[in-house]
Amino acid sequence: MMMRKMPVACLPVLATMLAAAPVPAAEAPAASDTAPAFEQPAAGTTDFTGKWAIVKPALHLLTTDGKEPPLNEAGKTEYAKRKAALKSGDHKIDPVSTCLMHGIPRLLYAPYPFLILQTTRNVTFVHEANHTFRIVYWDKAPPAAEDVDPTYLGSAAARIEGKTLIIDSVSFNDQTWLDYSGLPHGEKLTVQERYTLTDPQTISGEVRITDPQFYSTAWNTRFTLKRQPGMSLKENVCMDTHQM
Amino acid sequence: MRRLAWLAVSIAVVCTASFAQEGAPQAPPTGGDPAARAAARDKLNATQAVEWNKNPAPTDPRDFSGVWWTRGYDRTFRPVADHPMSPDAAATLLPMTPLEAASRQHHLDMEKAGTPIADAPTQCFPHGIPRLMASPYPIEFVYAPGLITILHEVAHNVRFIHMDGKPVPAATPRSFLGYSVGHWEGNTLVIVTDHFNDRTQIDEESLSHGLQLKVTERMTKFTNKYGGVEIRNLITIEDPEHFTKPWTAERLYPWRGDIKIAEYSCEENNRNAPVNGISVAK
Repeated sequence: MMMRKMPVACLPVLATMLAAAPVPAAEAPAASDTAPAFEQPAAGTTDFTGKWAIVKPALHLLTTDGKEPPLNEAGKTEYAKRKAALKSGDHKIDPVSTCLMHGIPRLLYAPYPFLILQTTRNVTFVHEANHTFRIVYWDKAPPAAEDVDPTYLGSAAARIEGKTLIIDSVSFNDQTWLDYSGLPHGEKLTVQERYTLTDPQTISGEVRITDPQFYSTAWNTRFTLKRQPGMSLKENVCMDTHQM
Repeated sequence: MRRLAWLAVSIAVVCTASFAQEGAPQAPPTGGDPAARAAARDKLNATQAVEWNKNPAPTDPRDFSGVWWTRGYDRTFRPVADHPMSPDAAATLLPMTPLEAASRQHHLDMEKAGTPIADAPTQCFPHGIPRLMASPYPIEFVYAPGLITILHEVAHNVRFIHMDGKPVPAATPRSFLGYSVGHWEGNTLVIVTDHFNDRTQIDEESLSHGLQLKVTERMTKFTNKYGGVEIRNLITIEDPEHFTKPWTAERLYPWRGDIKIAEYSCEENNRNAPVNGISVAK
C-alpha cells in the first residue's frame, strides 16, 4: 500500500489518493498437526480471522446517508478550532502527529492494514499503524465506564450474531480524534462497531457514535474491508519515522 | 490510576502512563535468616500458583494461549549456569569478543557516570529480541492458522511467529524485532529470529549486538513444584561479532489467568526520552 508511508503533514494529500483496493484471491488456511492452532472458532461460527484493509481510508467521516455528523454547538466550536489550526499548518494539534494512539474509530479508517485474530478467548485487532493492538474479550457488555480507567482505545466487549461481529466500547479518554479532520469526542463517547461478513473476502462495517458532549444525536458511519491474502504487516514505528 | 508500581524504577523502564498492573507479582521476601526467607518464598509461590491458576492454563502442552507474566525483573541476560550466580559473577561466563568486552565496559562506565547510553525503548522503539522477552510486563499468545502472535503489554510490542513452514521471504527488511520463524520439536516451540537492525541491546544493562544477531528460543510449558504452570524460554544468542560462541540465557513466564493485557502508551509520557543519546530521567 503506497499510502502507508505518509508523513502526518502530508495527510491532506491522502484525500486525492484514496482508491479502491484490488479484490484479492481466496486465502488458504495453513493449519496442520505440525503447527496446531488452538482456541479456534467453533465450526459454524463466523470466523473473521485474517488480513484486512479498508477499501477507502477516510480523512473525514460522514453519516451513512452522506451527511455531516450532527455536531452540537460545543462540537461545532471545537471542530472549527481544530480545522482552523490544521489549515494554518499547525499539524501538531493532531494527536497522531506525536504518535499517540489513533483511538476508535479513527484507527479503523487509517491507511494501514491489520489482522483480526479470532479465538474462543477473545478477538484481537493488530494494526500495522504504529504496531497498535486491541484485545476484546467475548462478553455481553463492556464494563461500566466508571469501573475502568479511560484509555485511547476504550474498554470493549465483543459478541457474534450470525455473520456480524459486534463490539461495544466505552471509557475512552478524550485525547483522540474521531477522524483525521478533527471530529471531536469526549470521555462519554460510546462506540458500537458492526463487522458483517458479506462474502468470504468482504466485511461491510458500520460504526455508531454516541457522544452527548459534542453531538446532538447518535450517528452511524460505514466502511468496507477487503481481505489481503498476500499481505504481511510491516514493522511500523511512529517514533522512528514520525509517519502515521 | 489503579496501577501500582512495584518495580524499582529503572532507567530503561520508560515512558509509561500505566507503569505496572495491579496484582503485579510481589517482590520476594528479603531480610531475616535464609531458611525463613525460603519458607516465605515457598508460601508466596504456592499462594500465587493457586491464585493465578483459578482461571486455568490450557492443558495441551503445545497450547500457550492466554496471558503469562515473568516474575520480577532481571535487567541482565547471562549464560545459564549449573549453580546460582549473581549477575556480576555470571558475567564472567559471557563469551565476549574484544569488541563486546569494550562495548560492555563503555555501557557500564557511562551508567556509573550518571549518563547511561539510551536504549531503544527509551525512545519508544521496539525493545528488540531477546531484550523484549525480559520485560517485566504481561504477554499474551494468540494462535491462528500458520501464525502465533505474541502481544506484549510493554509499549504495545507485537511479535509474529510464522508457523506456516515457509522460509524467511527474500528481501525481508531488517527491523527492531526481526523476522521470526517457528516450529514444534515435540512440545517445545522453537523460534528462530534474525533480520534484526543493530539499534537494540541484548539486555538493558550492557550487552550489545550487531546485524549478524540470530536468536533461537526454545519455549516449553511445565508445571512447577507449587502446581503452577510456567513457560520456560531458553534463549540462545549468536552473533560472531560480539560473542565468540553461542550462549543461552533463560526466562520463565508463569501463567496468569487472573489478568488481562492493559493498554500501554509509551508515546504519551516519555520521561526518559534521550538527549544526545543519553538517557535523562525527567
